[in-house]
Amino acid sequence: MRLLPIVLVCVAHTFHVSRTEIDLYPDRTEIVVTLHADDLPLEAESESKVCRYVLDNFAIRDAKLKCLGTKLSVHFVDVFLEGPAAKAPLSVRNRILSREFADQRNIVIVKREAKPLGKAVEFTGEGEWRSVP
Amino acid sequence: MIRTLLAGIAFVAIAAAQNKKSPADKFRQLEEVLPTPNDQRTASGAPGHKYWQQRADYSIDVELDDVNQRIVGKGTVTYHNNSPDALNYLWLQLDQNIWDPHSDTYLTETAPDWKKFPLPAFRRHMDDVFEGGYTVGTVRDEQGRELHKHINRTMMRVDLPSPLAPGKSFVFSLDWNYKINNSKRISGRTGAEYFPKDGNWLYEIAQWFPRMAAYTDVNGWQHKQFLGTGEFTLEFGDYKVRITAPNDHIVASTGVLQNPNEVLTAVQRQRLQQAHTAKKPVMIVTEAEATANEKSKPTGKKTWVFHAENVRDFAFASSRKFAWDAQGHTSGSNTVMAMSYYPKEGNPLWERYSTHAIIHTLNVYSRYTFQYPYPVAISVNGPVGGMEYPMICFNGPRPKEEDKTYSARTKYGLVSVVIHEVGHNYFPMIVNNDERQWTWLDEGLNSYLQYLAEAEWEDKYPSRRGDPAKIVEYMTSDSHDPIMTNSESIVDLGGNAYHKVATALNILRESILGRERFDFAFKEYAQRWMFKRPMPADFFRTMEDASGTDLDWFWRGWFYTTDNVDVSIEGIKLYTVDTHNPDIEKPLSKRTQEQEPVTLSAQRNKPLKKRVEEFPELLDFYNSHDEFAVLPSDKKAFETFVKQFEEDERKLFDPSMNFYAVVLKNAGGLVTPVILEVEFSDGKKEELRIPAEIWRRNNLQVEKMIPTRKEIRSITLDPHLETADVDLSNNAWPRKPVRTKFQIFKEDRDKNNVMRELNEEKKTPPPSGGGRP
Repeated sequence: MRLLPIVLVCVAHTFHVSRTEIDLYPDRTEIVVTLHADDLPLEAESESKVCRYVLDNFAIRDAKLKCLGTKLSVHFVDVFLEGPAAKAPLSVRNRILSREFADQRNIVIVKREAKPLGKAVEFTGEGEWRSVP
Repeated sequence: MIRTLLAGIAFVAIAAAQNKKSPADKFRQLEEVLPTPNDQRTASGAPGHKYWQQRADYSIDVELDDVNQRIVGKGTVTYHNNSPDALNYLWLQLDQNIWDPHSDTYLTETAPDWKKFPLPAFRRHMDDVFEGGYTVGTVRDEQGRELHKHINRTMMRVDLPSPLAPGKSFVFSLDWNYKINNSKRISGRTGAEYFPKDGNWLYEIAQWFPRMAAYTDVNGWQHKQFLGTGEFTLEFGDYKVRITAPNDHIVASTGVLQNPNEVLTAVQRQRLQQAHTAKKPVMIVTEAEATANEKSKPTGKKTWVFHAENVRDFAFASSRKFAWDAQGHTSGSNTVMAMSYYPKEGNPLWERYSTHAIIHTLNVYSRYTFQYPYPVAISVNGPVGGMEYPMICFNGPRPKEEDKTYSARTKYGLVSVVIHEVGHNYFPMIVNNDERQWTWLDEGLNSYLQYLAEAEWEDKYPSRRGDPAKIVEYMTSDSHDPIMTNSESIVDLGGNAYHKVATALNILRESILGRERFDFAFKEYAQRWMFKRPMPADFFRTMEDASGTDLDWFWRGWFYTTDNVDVSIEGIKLYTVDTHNPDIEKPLSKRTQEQEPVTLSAQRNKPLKKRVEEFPELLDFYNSHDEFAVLPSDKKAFETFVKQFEEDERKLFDPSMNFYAVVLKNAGGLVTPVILEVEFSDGKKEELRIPAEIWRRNNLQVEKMIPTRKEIRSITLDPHLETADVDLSNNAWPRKPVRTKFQIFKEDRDKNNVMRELNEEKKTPPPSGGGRP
């Protein structure tokens, strides 16, 4: 196995969590990825770069996602993705910020028309595909 | 619509239904969980009449080796045994030993995620080892006799020649040295930062001397090893510290400088004098002077002498890169010098915000606790992201190196971290809680006060922690621990010990006790335990004692469980008064029947020709009788009914009165106040604020009666988002769709498109951005 050493960044806050909500509708899938702006390894203000970064690191199997844009609220960035209609359970990959932070936690919540479907799933960042409810 | 008799029987039936499924008692008192009160700590949460704590005074000579990045120190400790116990040995803390290559910190590291191997750990395993940790020399008593010592990882025991009796003191001396960690390679609460462009170092030095471990009435000697997360448990004392550094360095330190004539220039001393009464920060060393100083080479050493009284620790910073500003501030009868030290890389942010943020913190925190008692308050920019020590703290945010611009996030990040770290002077530097056991008792209380201070910095300050709506994410996450979790075992330290506590206290203040009662109780806690060592039970008990409110249910739910707030309006029932008066009840019954829906078949059958229309002789009495007509027997029955009641009781049979029952379900587990905004058919709104005790007999489901002569149009639960309710979709009757983040984003985007269209139509260029924020 190849090892990839990473640099740990010292920041004032002590935890690294991204939260992703996948909302399933009959005609589409809406995804909001929320990140701490300080954690991003690029300019949080650059919508295109943030979109590209998230699309490179988050995926739903067999679904081509489109990034509609981002919203920056001082400390947090929301990234808005949209995809074709899909049914739970989904096969999801989430390695957002996992190379940047050893303690990164990626929490994914799946909803159907804004109602949660079961417990949140936490990703370890190894880039594996996992089934989420 | 449900109509029922307004009498005891009907309501007893409802109450009985609520009692049937009585679940665990969330209002059970905490006395079986909290330690038994005693002479040291009373049941009211105050220090008892036999409260005691130890004391340790230090006299230290330390040299900062700028060539090899080492600390070399020697010192004398005078340990005062104020306990009722004779002590056979003393324990000291050797915090630098977490960087010993064989430390428990490293040994207990779990396997990394193989695709993201942390670089510091990778270096270590590739034999690029940082040889950190203390080298401790001989420990000697006052007469110079060697004392036996034993090092147990991050702690060291010194055996005494004879037991140290209560009320007696023991003096011993020792020497030590260690290699300072390079923060770029191993970050921490202390370290050195190298600036390759000018070849200089900046040092933030803490946990740099063997410190006396705490001996307490609760735990005896503090014996939890330092693993890296649980911070410090320390004793108060006086410090005399002589810091020797290259003679072109500026040193910032805990305490008051004793020899300014030897280490400062005449100009610097004159500016410092000016700063005492200045209305704005005064530059003691300007950025230009600091930049010029970067190019200098030391021609020798200087020794800076600092004295600090009644502090639990001592830290300092040193560099030839430091610019330095200062402003005097009056806190009650105390004059404080607020001072900031920063390299040019910190500007333009630091000269604008740091000292202002220090003074703002002292103003706000002192109002809610006690007057700041120390003579200086210092903020230093260096490699440490944010860390606190008595009178001095280290803070990280800087503008971008290439163009000196900064984002709003960096600006507010700096103001917030300065508030937070200066705020730590109150908790735990003065209210000296045990951080090794309970991080939340200072981080949580401090984050709560930080939230208050930020609210007074500017309108709409982007606070990260304190607003109830912002904790929802953590409360529903898998990494949610009870607040009462030991510091080393918490999974998400920021979410738990900082964020959840700050939010819980904000809810307690705004929605449960009210500001006046909360502020009184919180200040009482701070003042009771100023320069003493409180434990969690002392906080819980003082808040209840001083507010005159039983809060055991609140501590139990918010601090001992991972429940969250999720109250749902399950439905509404309407009860009206059955007057038994046929003149009222029969027409009402008729209207009710008429309002019932007509079935589809009945609608389709209506046009059909009926046989009785063809043969009218088939119609009889029953075809023309009004079943809702008032009969003499009805009137007689009413007269009999009315006779049961006195004249004044009869007035209560008011048919215009509505009794609504709001059915509330507790889906999240935490018992909480219920705040209902009731909108009536005339458009007027009323707010009903119901204490959490509504859940005391059944914490799963309750009904709340709302008597009113008006009709209710809608009800909204938690209309001001003050309870951290994790699911807003069930907070309204009738149900309202909750706009998702995605919907709001799309709507905003559409609005933006309209603007763009209009701009394009006008053929005007879009507004230009850029420039320094």
